[in-house]
Amino acid sequence: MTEIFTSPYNLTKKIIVQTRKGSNIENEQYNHMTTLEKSYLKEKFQREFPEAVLRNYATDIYNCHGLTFASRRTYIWDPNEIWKIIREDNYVEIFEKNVLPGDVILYIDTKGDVEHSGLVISKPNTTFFVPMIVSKWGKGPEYIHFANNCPYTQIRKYYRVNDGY
Amino acid sequence: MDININLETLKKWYYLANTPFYLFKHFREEPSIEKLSKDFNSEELINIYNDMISKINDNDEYIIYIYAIIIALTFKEDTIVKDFINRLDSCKLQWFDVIKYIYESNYVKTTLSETEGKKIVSSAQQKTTAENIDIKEKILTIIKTEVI
Repeated sequence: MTEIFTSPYNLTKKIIVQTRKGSNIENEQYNHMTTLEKSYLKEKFQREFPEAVLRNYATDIYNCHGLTFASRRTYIWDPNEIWKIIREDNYVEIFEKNVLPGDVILYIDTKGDVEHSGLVISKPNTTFFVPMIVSKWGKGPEYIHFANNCPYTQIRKYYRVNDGY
Repeated sequence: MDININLETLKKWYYLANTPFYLFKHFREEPSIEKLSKDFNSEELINIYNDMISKINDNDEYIIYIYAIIIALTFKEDTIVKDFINRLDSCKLQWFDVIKYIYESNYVKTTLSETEGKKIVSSAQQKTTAENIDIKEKILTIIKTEVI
């Protein structure tokens, strides 16, 4: 079931996303990017971060949090919702040196806004002790990149679902 | 456009924004936005906004200009701006509601720190008690980076 409302600006759609405990997660799907904007973003980010590997093209249907926590289905824009997922899905914080593929990275500003998130896809390398991440840069494309090589440079924290024994 | 903003930088923040808080913060930190708020008085900026919003379309640059004007207005503290932002039509842009909330909650947050959280309700001008408790909870949730 979806709830649809219109605006003069675009058509926005919400879908049902829930935590393990059944709390709804606020989200919206936008879909108004032009090919020109997508191309602009791809070229801009590739120029600024040449080491990052393009994984998927720009879209505003989902954002980084939608990639990390909603399987690329929608745009989760409220940082409170991210903290709700962290709590209700039993995530625990992990030291960077201990992260494993499948863990989650959050980039957090000093006021607690979760500016960015992504999925860990490799253990920290032995040179810089930084893991590789797949993440989506705002409305821009998805990239594979080192955790410290992306436009989001705030505090990095890692999380893993912990169901215990 | 008869307003001068650093469109290239603002474009970057607009496209990178995963949350409205990020957009708001980076737009406010951009010097051309603060300059915009100094170059025009509140009524002039509101007139420019009204002119632009009446012609709104899907062009992202256009949307960036509108966000720029709104966030430039948040530098001003007169009642004209407070009333204007309070009456913003939330249907116009995707994050208007949150920008309004950030603007209003920042005001409440200042008072919260000044009074050590005891007078949150009295600081809220036209808001109801329930709305203020909700805002207080939201602010505290954002401020505390909860670690499990």
